[in-house]
Amino acid sequence: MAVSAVHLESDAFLVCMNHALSTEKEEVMGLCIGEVDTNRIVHIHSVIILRRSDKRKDRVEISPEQLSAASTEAEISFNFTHRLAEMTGRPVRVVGWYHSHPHITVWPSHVDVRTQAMYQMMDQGFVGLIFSCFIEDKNTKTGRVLYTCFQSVQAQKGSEYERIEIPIHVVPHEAIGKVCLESAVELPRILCQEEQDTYRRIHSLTHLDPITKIHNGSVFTKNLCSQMSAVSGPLLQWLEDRLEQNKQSIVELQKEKERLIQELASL
Amino acid sequence: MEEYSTTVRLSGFVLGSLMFQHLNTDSDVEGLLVGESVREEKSKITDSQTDHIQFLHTINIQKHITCRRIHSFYNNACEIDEEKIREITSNFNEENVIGWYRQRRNTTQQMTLKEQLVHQNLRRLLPHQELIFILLTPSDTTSSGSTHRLEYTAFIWNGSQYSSVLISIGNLGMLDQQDYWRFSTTCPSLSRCQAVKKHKTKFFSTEDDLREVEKVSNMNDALLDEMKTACEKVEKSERLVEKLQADITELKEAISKQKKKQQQCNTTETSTPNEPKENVLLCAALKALFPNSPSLRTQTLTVQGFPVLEVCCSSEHGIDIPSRLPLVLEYEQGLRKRKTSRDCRSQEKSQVAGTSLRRKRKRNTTDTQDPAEEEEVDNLQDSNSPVF
Repeated sequence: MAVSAVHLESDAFLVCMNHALSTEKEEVMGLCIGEVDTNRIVHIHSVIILRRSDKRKDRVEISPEQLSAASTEAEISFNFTHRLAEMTGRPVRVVGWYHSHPHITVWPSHVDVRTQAMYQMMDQGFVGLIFSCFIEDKNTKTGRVLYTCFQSVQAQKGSEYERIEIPIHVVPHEAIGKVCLESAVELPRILCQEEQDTYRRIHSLTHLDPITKIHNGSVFTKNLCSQMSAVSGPLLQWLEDRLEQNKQSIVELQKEKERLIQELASL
Repeated sequence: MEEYSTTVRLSGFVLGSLMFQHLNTDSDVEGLLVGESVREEKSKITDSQTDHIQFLHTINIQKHITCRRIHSFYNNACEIDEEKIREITSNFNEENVIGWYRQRRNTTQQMTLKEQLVHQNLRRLLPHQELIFILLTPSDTTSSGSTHRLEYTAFIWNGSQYSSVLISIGNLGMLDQQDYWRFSTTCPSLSRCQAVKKHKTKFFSTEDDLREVEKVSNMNDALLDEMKTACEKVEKSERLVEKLQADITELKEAISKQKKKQQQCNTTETSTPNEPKENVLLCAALKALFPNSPSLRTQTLTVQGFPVLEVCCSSEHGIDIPSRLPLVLEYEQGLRKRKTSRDCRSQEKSQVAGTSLRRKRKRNTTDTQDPAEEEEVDNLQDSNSPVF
């Protein structure tokens, strides 16, 4: 086995979870950034939300060539990687991918396993994460969120692949890193760009009459308002709450620091 | 016929934030929930009934207030600390507190007796009567640790018991791109009619661009910019919190080191009684009185009681005998006098010895000194021991 475990920092986990919970109607995906240590443990300290040009309700995988292109599209160029390395103080590279399973089981499908196997041909240490959400048990009125980590190996019989479990631990990281914050606020920007691209493609059709254009404009307005209401608004609310919480923490921490300084001086 | 339905809603960001809080803590966590409650009445007419009324109650959770530690707003008897609740909710209107939550690992999705009591007491205190309690229970799904699960439920008191309510996660849903029309309407007259031509300009800023699209795009761009500014402020505050936590850790380590150092010094001081301190005055007195007996100036004896000559003190302590030890001086002078008189007596003795035979012959008649006393005096004169 190429990887022994995955350590996912909690602020990176937060970005993944926010992304997965942003929509229950389609699968979303992103890339995991980090490094692999000498004990074959994959450390993920940030993620990048990917924009999909071909959105399908039930599938989210992209080919290795598309993954490479996606890495470029996501600005994982030398300059960005270098800047990221400077910001985090750690070497960085793409070490895995994550995607969501809304309303379906957390286990990877045969397509997911095959996709993961293809990624592993480029990089043996590449890992896959799946976030299953919007699971509801109507009997017990309980909601559920699950997440798993896996890699692929050649099945003993035939040429198919099968999944192997990789232990995953979410490592506490109380303060949210700069890269994770920037990734988190990238989501509404990506959604807006996707919607604008779709609208422009429709609007550029030359044979549309004014009534149809007005209707399409209203659809665009409706969709953008949905994004503002369901994503941008709650995200802005969370940022303001986090700032408020940090301000209170700063006051308390400063008091404690002064108390400790006085205690040290008296010794 | 009446039907009651309660729904609890929160955004994915609030759920993510709750999970984030618990992942960064070893123990259980709890806090308060802020939001609003909306009630709606709907009439539903069916073929069988004309008076079907649906009462819909939606509780929207907007944010959660983290408590620094568990049991922070109630005691072991589950009595609520009103002062603490006011302190926690000082930035919010108490009416907006709609519930509380608790997160505990590897436990069942059931309210404990303690949680029920706390909830009842909170209901009495807070104005919002239909208070909710959200329970989140993370656990491992596989023994390898590859898969993890979080379950969550809302509980509400319905007058006689607690009932669980499904939590709905607000999200984008599907932006149905099928909603866009890709083909024109099938009525050419509609496009050519005067009404459309006249009012078209109200919708289009130029030949092709729609005013509504421009306005909503501008508003969205402004919102994204505001979000970016908020993000930058949060980032600065995160770094400041990190720095303060690092400073505090450093200070605690320094204090701990200092305390250990002090403890070690105290231990070193208290360990010296094992080594006997030298009585400098005694040593000086012994040297003055018995200059030829260095063995008297030792504090170390063998098991048999003999002085250890190797550790005899030979150093000059610089004690001024006349001022510090005047009695020793007096005695020393007395000793000298006795010695002098002893020497004289010795001489006389030798003279007397020559005439002692003569005295012996006359002892029976004239010698009044007891021979034993005479011997003691001689012994005393021979001894060097001080007499106090």
